Amino acid sequence: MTLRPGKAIPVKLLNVVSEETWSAIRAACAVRDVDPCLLGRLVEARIRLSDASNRRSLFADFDRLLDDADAAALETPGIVDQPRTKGEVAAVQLRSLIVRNWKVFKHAELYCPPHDPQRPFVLIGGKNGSGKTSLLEALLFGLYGQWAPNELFHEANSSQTLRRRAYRKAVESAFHRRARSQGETVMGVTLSFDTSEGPLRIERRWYFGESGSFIEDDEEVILHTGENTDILAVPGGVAPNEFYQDEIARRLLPPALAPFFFFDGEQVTRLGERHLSEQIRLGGESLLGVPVLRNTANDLRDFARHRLRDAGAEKLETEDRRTREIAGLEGLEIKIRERLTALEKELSPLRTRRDALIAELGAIAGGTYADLQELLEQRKRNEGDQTRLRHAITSFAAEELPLVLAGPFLRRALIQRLRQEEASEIKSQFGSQHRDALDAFLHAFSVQAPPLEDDVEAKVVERIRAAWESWSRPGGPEEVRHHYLVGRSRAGVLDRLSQSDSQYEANAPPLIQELTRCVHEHEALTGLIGQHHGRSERRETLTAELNVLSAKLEAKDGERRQLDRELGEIRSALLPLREEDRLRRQRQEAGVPALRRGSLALRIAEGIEETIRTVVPTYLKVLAEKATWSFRALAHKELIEGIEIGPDGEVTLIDRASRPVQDLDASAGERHIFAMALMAAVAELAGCALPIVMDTPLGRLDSEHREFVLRFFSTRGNQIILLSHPNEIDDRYYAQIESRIMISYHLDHETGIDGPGESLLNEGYFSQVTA
Amino acid sequence: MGKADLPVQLVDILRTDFRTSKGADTTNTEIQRALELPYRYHPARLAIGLSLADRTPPPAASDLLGKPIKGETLFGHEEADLAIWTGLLIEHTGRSGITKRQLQDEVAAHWQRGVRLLWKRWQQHRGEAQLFYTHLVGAPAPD
Repeated sequence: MTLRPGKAIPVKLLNVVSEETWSAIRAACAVRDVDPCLLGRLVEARIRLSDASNRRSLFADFDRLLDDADAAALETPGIVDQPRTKGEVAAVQLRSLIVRNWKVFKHAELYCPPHDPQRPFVLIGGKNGSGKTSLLEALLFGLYGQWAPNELFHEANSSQTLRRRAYRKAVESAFHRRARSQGETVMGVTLSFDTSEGPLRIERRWYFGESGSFIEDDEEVILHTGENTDILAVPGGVAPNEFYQDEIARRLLPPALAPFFFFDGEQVTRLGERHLSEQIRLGGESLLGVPVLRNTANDLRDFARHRLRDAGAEKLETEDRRTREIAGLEGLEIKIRERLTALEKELSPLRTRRDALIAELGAIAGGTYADLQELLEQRKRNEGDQTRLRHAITSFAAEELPLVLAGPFLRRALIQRLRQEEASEIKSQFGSQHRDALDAFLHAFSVQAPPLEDDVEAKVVERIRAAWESWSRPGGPEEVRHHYLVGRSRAGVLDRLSQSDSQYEANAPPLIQELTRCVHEHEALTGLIGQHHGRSERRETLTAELNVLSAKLEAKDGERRQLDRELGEIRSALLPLREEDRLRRQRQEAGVPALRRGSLALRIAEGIEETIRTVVPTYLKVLAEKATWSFRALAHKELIEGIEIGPDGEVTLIDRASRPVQDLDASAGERHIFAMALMAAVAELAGCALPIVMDTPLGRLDSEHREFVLRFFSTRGNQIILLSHPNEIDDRYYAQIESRIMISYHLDHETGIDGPGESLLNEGYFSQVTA
Repeated sequence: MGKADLPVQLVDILRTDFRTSKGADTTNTEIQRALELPYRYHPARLAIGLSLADRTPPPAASDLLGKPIKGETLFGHEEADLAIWTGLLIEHTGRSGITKRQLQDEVAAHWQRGVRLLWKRWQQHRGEAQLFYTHLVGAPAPD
């Protein structure tokens, strides 16, 4: 099988399939074990057979392609695997626009010679109210009817009913008044284009009742194709208008993209303000061929449903669900494994640190809280002992120590003195108390025989009496030093003095020794407690860190365990699913071709859907780059560094500091330029040189911007249909582009006596300008 | 001959005020605090005891402006306590017939000399009462 060049919309598709997009298709196919060329062939078949009366032939082609996937791929290996190349653009040009009873025109015909890139301009001059915008609207209504771009006649996001009502109102008000008053019932627009698939003529007619009311059901659109302008056959079972609209979108431009090619300069800035993201997204999808891909995917799903049902296989939903389930579970498994790997990396240093902390804590010896308490208790007891000992020592210090301190010499001297005085006292008392005994003694002496001489005896007695008296006489004041002590008092003092040393020796040293021991013990205990506190502080620091670390580890470990469990569950779930899948494949291989085709179609449908999900954001990224380039080519200000487009099409202008620019509203001219840049970017990405129709595009711009715009658009290769006010393209700008004008017209308006008047389209620009 | 000129009797000592010089009294208070002794007479007794060990007569007190302590407090109210202190003080003088006034002067002089000696000992064992007490007995008086 080969592609017919003229029919192959893959040309259009290929034109927008960038390397990145194609990579996405290949990637989506690779994971599903699908040949991307087969996918391309299926899309091509869908495009080629979309005008078939029913889908039987399409499905038959699907069967054939899917049955012989390898052979089909080999047959035309490059069908889709060709990235877009420059110079491959397919020029589409407007060749004629004929209106009948359309707005201010009773009848008007605009013809354009074949397009020449060197002379891209078709210039149509017209003063205000002469019908320039009516011509633009004729183009849009002629192409799209009720699907014409929103801004023309209704608010965005309105309901279908409101939209239809607005369309009806727009159509009725477009009907030429004089024609209506003259009883005419038809309004028509006929458009002729040269396209990559050959000539295309579009005829649209609106019918009105006698009262001028629009008969909606009678609206008619007919497509003629080929050199002989044959009517394009409508497949059976398809509404003609719907089929023709699809063909217009496919062969020319989807309505979503129309605002980027056909625009009213007066309203263009609205593009920069409203509906922009939706326009960009829809436009992007259309450009990428997403609708075609999506239709193919839908058809493939329908095909699969049919084939699987035919094969008596399990229900498609089951098949589909299982395929999705396996894909989903595999995706989850990958994610979980990635997370587990990341977790292990996070856990490893945490575990190392935890082990180090535990080791250090273990190395801090002895040191429980109980130990500390015991030490503190011991020290407290020690302090109690010290107090008791100090009191005891103090008591001794007061009672005994001074006597000890006085020293043995003094104590002995006193003792000796007191004993002397005691002896003296005793002798004195004895002498006086025992004088009778002396007398008795002397009497006994005198009677002893032999008797002594009388004088001798008298002298002896005298001498004995004198000795007695002398011996027993008490001492004088000089001798009695401690006179205040007598008898028992002296004895008590003597006792104390003789005992004081031994008393002290018996009691004081043990007390002092005990105190010394206590003091040393106290010092030791204080040292231990200090060490303990030091260790405690370190231990507390380590423990706190360990606690935090343990919590982290626990959390991460918890997550890991949870993930492990989930992984286990996923694997357990995948096991039977894969087994079922394997058996199913075996059954298919064993010769249930319909089943095999059905499931292959499903995989391809998924591949297409994934591609869509991938390519749209890629496209938007490229669009942003293009728009940035266009904007910078068009704008003379250098405020804007770039344009960014988000995944849903939302547009942000970025200044040089990469900040979003909020004050775009500051200049209407700048908004205008911005919208034009977007249009140019989309147009460029469209890959086919569609005509660009601009209605009074320069009105809001200063002279420098006008020159930029004219230069920019004139070099793009597109046919440029410029609807201009005479003050807009005046002699200066006319001179600038004169050599590049293919053909020019001007509108002459005749004011009606009883209405809005009528305009005529005449060849040649305004005489005062061209003169 | 007045009573003050009569040899002292123990009973007189009980109610007699004893003082030392103001400087010695201040040192006495410092020693009391340092050794955490509850009463002023504690360091006073130690001082007098320490001074009595020196056989030379103590220099007379420079003044008698220190705070007084009653005899019964300074030496004890038991007759034996009073007697032993009086005995040692009088024996140290080597004289007989010591009057109350003379005894007061003797106490003032010993107190003053002893308190200085004590202070020197304390400086040697600053902060360590047990060492102070251990070394107090029998150790030569520091210069």
